[in-house]
Amino acid sequence: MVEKMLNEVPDSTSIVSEAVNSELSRRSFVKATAATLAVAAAAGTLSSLVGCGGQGGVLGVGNSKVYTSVCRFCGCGCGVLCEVAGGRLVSVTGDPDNASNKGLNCVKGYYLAKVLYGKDRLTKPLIRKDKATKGTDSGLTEASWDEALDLVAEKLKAVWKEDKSRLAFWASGQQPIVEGYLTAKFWKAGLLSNNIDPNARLCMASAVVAFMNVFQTDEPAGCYEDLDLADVFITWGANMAEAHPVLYSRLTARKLNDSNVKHYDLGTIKTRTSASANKTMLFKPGTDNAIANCIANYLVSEEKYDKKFVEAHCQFKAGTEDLGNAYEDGWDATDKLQEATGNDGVWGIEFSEYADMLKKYTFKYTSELSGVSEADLKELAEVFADKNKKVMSLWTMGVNQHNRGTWMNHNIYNIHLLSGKFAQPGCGPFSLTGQPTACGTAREVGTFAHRLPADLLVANGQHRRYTEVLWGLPSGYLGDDEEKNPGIMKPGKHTIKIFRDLSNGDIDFLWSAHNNWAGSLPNLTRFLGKGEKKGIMDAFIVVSEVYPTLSCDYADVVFPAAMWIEREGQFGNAERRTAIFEKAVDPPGDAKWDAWILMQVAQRVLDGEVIGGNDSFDTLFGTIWDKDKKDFINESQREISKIVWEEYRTFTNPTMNPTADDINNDVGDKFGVTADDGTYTPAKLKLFAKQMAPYDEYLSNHGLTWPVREVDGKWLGTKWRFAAGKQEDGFDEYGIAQYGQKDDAGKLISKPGNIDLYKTAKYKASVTFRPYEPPAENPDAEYPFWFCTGRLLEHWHTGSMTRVVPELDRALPEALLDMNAADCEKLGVKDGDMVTVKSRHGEFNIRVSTAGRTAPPAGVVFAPFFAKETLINLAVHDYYDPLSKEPDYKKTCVSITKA
Amino acid sequence: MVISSLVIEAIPDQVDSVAAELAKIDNVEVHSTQDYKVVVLVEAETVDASHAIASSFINIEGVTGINLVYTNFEDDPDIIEAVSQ
Ligand code: SF4
Repeated sequence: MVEKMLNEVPDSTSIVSEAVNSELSRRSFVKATAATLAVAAAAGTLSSLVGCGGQGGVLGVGNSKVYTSVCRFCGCGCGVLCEVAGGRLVSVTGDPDNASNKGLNCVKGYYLAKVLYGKDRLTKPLIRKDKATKGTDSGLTEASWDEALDLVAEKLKAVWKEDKSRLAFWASGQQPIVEGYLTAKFWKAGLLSNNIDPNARLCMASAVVAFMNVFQTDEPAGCYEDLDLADVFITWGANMAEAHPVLYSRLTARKLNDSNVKHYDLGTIKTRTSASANKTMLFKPGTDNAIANCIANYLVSEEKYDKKFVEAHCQFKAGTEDLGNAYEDGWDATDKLQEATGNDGVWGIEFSEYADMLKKYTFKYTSELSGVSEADLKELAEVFADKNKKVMSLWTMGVNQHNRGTWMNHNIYNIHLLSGKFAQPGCGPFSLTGQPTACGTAREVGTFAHRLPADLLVANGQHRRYTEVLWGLPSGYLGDDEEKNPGIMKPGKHTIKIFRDLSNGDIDFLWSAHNNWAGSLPNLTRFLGKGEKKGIMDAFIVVSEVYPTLSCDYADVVFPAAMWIEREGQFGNAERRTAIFEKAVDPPGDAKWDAWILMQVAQRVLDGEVIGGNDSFDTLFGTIWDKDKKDFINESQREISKIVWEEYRTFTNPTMNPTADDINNDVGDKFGVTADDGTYTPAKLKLFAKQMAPYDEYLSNHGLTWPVREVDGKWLGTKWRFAAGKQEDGFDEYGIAQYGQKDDAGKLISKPGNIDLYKTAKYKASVTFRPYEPPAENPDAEYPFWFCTGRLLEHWHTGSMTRVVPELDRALPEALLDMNAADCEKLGVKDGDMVTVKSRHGEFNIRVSTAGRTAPPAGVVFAPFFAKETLINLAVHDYYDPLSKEPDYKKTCVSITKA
Repeated sequence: MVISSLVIEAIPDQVDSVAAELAKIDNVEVHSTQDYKVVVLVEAETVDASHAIASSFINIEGVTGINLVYTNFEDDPDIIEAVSQ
């Protein structure tokens, strides 16, 4: 232990002045700073102590400068302050002014320094000259930027001109907002292609589809602050302790503050999250849909639901139940699925019919099915029945990566809506995200194959028209006739379709950025093709990366990208908070900002192309790029980001463009419905419901949660969407005033539960009956175990950044197969043995652990997916949820034998 | 030296024992306690070493959370070397 240097915390002014006077040694000063900050963070008064830009705080003293930033290592999206001196990062501090984390980071905050400076950073463009070396870690040679860009542009242009169904971009929930917006614009308007989809398809798609189905708007109504206020937490298949550390810390802090607060952890394996829960309920894989229906059945049959709330805010529906399981190539196109995902896939029912459908899910039936005791199920149901309890449900991958993941999202909303526990402080369902900007980028700016910015859809004429106006495109440019001018009317290929097509030789050009598909896709045996790799070998593959990954092994060109704070970027996290990370240091070598790379390729590909008689490239990107200079019009990434942001922001501030506003309000009666009696119901887009603020506001506020409203010259975020109350207090005052339900005199109707679901057409959420469906595969004699995959604390996804940090690699050096001791005994394997895990799809070898991070029950095994030498996705099946097309990574059936 | 400060959360009636256990660890200084929180300083040669120490706190009976507030690595020889390459 070091000697005690501090008996009390000096105030910040004294620290600063003493440091300036050099009376304290640098070390003492740093220690005093460290202590001051931590004491203040513990007391929640950190905000006044830190200053940005070297102003008025204990950071940024002397020659250093402080930048606001956002951590990039999980879906929480915590704010951090980055202090830079001599061109390098010298300290990081939890940002007290970012309300997502209020000055606290998890231990992963340590990595932020190290990931920038890991070994093997990619600093030069790389080109593969000999295709025979594909699939190995050799064969890439250094090239100049011009050489690499020319080659990529030439290939992309050739494929585009020949057959644009054979090109694709794989985007990411880690791609900053401005970059994602520009990519979507280039792909959708520049190339008229919808073959762009993000890796968020693998993690959030089920949540997205359910949000749209139930509320007709994406993303949660509540916010992280609910974690400080709830009485009961329910984690559904979510290991928050490792995957969302700072949010979990808020949850445990709430429990420590009040011993009446309870946490129920539901899942198929025990995790670190179970360790601190009041009760863990382990259920048989896939039976969560039955458990939620069982709770609903109890609420309805015992009349313990919130009648007034239900009457005011809910409409009831049923949907196609026989969806099958998606494995075959042409499966999406079958009539059955087309019907299930189209307008005929759901239909309205009476509440009594819904009640009848639930009847099967008695405690007894559900207990037998799920393995959770009747008493525990009852206890859980009582939580929802208790009118005085504020309940927060939290979920991510266990629910989303599920062969009926969209249904399970529905079912969680169903029980919260039935019990009226929705959109109130500390009370409501909260869908966590897996990546720091899965919301901000993948979902909000339109990098999904079916979307445009601001939740708009490519298949909707009004949405396309609105987009055309804001992108300066002639009317109909994005398509107005399926036969003659299809434009982008038809959604493109979703992620799994892109990669199935790639492996089948039906994709000729693929570009990926901010992801590592060769490690993260399910069923890599199918996609990388053991033996039959032809598609991947023949296609031209481009990878933008910061460190070498497995995907680089298949690349024809690798672009070295600037990472994290080596450029300016923006993230949008799960609580709808948009935050900016400033450029603080320069990228190493020749690594470049992704937006620069994209513009370079776009300029080359669109050379000579015209839109409505004008130069294509200039029409789309002329505001930020100078073609003669072959560079941005301004050196400042801040200025470029601002221009792009202002354009994007117009999508959510329709009055900034009067023509767009007319489309938003359906002025001119074009897009609505005319009834038999001639009355016209306009189709209103209600785009102010997603309102974003000017760029600088995000810097000065350290992030803001949309919808952001200008009140007396100040921009205020919204913590609880759809909830009535004052904007200053975080409620959705302006959203409700603008779009809420009004009586004939134009006065707002006050409603039970204090909410107004104004984004839905009838002011009512859809409670859709979604039954239990068995997993796509079930254990049998040949493949007797369920294999569940996931993340652990130390390594972020496929480990492409975290594994370059030696300490992290030492802390979790190897992916282990967590097994139940009874299963080990039965198989005659013991801790430390190598085993072969084999499924119907592929196999891999791995070491067994009976004392691993997770504790699966008998019959279930778990392994994380970070290790490229233990490529577990070789065996994981690629069955996906038919509605969301998100694969189920949690329930592959496998055999285990000693290797 | 890499100097870091953390807020360690503990089960309320075990805060004192957690603080005592933390204080026994080399290069860890318990600065103060507030409710269920213990403020600690960690001094170590490198970020890696500091991270290793901080991560080990989870093994202490009664610790429920480890929050990093500040870490200063201006003197980390590993980082200085990596940057200079
Ligand atoms: S909780 Fe997530 S976002 Fe926050 S500091 Fe840790 S890794 Fe970064």
